[in-house]
Amino acid sequence: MTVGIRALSYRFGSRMVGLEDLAEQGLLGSTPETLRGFGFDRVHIAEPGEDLGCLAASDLLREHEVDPLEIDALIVFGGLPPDPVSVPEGEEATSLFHYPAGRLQHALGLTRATAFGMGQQGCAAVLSALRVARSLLISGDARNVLCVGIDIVPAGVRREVIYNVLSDGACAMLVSTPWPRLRPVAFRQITKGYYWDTSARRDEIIAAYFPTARNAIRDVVAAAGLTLDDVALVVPDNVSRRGWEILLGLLGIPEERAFLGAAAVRGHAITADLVVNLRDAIDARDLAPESPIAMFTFGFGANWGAAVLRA
Amino acid sequence: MSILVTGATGSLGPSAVARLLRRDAVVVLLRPGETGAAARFEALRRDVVRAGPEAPTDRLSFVTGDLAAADAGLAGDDRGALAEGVTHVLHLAAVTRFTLPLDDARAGNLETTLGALALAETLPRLEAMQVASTLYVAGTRTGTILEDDLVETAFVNSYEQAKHEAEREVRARMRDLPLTVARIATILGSSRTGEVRTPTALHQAIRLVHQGLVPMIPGDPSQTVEVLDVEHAAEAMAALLVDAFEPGATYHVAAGPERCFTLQGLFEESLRLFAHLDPAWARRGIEPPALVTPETYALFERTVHEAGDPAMTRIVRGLSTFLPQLLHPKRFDRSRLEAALPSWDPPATRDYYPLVLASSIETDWGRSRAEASP
Repeated sequence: MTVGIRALSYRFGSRMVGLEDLAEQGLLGSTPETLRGFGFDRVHIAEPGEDLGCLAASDLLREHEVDPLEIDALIVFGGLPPDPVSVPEGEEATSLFHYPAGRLQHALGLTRATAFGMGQQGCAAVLSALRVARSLLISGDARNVLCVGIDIVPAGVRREVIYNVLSDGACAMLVSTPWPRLRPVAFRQITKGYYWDTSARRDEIIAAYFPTARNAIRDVVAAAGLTLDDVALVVPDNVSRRGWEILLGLLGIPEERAFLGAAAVRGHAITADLVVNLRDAIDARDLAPESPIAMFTFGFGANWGAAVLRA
Repeated sequence: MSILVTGATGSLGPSAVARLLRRDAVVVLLRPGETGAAARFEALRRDVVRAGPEAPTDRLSFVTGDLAAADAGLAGDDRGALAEGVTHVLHLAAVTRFTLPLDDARAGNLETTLGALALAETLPRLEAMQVASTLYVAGTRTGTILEDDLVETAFVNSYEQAKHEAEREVRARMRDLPLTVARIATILGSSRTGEVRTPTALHQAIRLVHQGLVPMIPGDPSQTVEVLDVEHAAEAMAALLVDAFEPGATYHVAAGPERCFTLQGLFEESLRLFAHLDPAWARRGIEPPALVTPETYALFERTVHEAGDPAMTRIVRGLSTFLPQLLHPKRFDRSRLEAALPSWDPPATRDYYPLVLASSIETDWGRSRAEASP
């Protein structure tokens, strides 16, 4: 059964803010100079009420002329937890069950779709969503699965996380069968619960990041029956460009094979990065059908996620 | 006849003294310090007994002095006694910290060696003197290093340079004094107990790996990590000084590549042993450091410094005095050592590394032992 990514779309918060302005607002830990050296320049911030997930999914359905009734399943994911809801003391807990998945299903008119959420993997949730979508399609339970990722940093929260600067963004990815292009052929996720407390294990996470990332990418490429030399395109997340330069050095992959540089204009949009960069890389590069594409992202929690697609 | 030992309280000292005591009376030169030379001598005596329970410590004595001072800081009586009795000198005194400014490294290594040579000139009965050095006087050279080599080169840290300069001074005096040089490999610990008396930069690196704080290490995975157990280092030194002395010779006191781990093997074995010795550690899922090219490591190092992250900066700075040596793989020729000591047969690292790691973990990498010391 041929499973592929049929359509991709994304949206960023409509307000663009430069590093200096973020620093002035106390939303950075490092200096703008340091972060610029790591490949960042600006971020996108959502205005209150800006429904990025709904916008990204609507774009996808419209641009690709997908009837909402074609969608069999909706997977809503995010690196950040959904908005916390406070319940006044003594009141019923019903408001705790206000899920983005149901709201989005209704807003998009996906009346045939079952809807559910995925999370608790940081940025790596995007690859888990793709993996689950693929499994649903292979099992015959669905023909079209819409995956929607949404991450909006709460107002006032610092936007720098361990030398990465966060944007508000959302992405949508339609995974279908039969579909011959952008076929996911291998996944590898390494979860290390020891590092679940990001604040307490910060130094250890920095140290663990590189060797584990290298292993995840090597493993997934091998699982796809390929070598690192075979990889035609590396789709990175938008953590610091410098971090990717080091990781590519560990892997022995030339930088020109990676779609680097998006972090400067996009910022790190958490789970949306891989979808954003996959779409932009496909538009920018003339990839032959079946070319191997390696994707990798790290999510706090801690999860190292990697996948190989065939273009 | 008696044997004068400097630096007896250092990493090799007690083991070397224990072995020398089997051959003759030993007098150690102790610096006057805040804790008092007598107290340190008693601590040394206990350490000698631990290092060699059968050593006849009734033949062990001390004098107070300072190799950096005029006349080695010796009292007149002591100077006379040494002149009358000393026939052999083992000069171990050194400062092995890699992070010192060059001037301080020279003070602790070059100046003390000059002081020891000056003292030797005052010993009319001197038959043999051995100066302890390091394999890494070869600095950034690569390939096969011969025992006679002492080639101008660059250095990874101030310790290597100061020891290289000290060796040059020793060579210059070889016509006038009965001198040998023993270039010792990195001492990994005791092959008998696993004890690490003085942690080296290698131990610090392994400790950081245990703590999961080393993301990458530069170097060729297949290069040899030349280490030696303290017992065989001490035995070789004692034998080369007393039993098989050959004036003018330099020896590589090293186990040789066939007995040592490769760089990759060392870290793989370390992680295997950590998991075996410490089940709680195994659940963390710590990866071995990635072995990377110099360019990739330099980029990582630069990034850490630019980020200014305090903990990672401290880690990288600590490693930077040691790791660059891994970029200059060497093979240390041991022809002269093997000819002089044909039956000397140190154990393979694999045979005693489990003991060393067990001891290191048990003592929290030497911290609990240091705290328990008087």
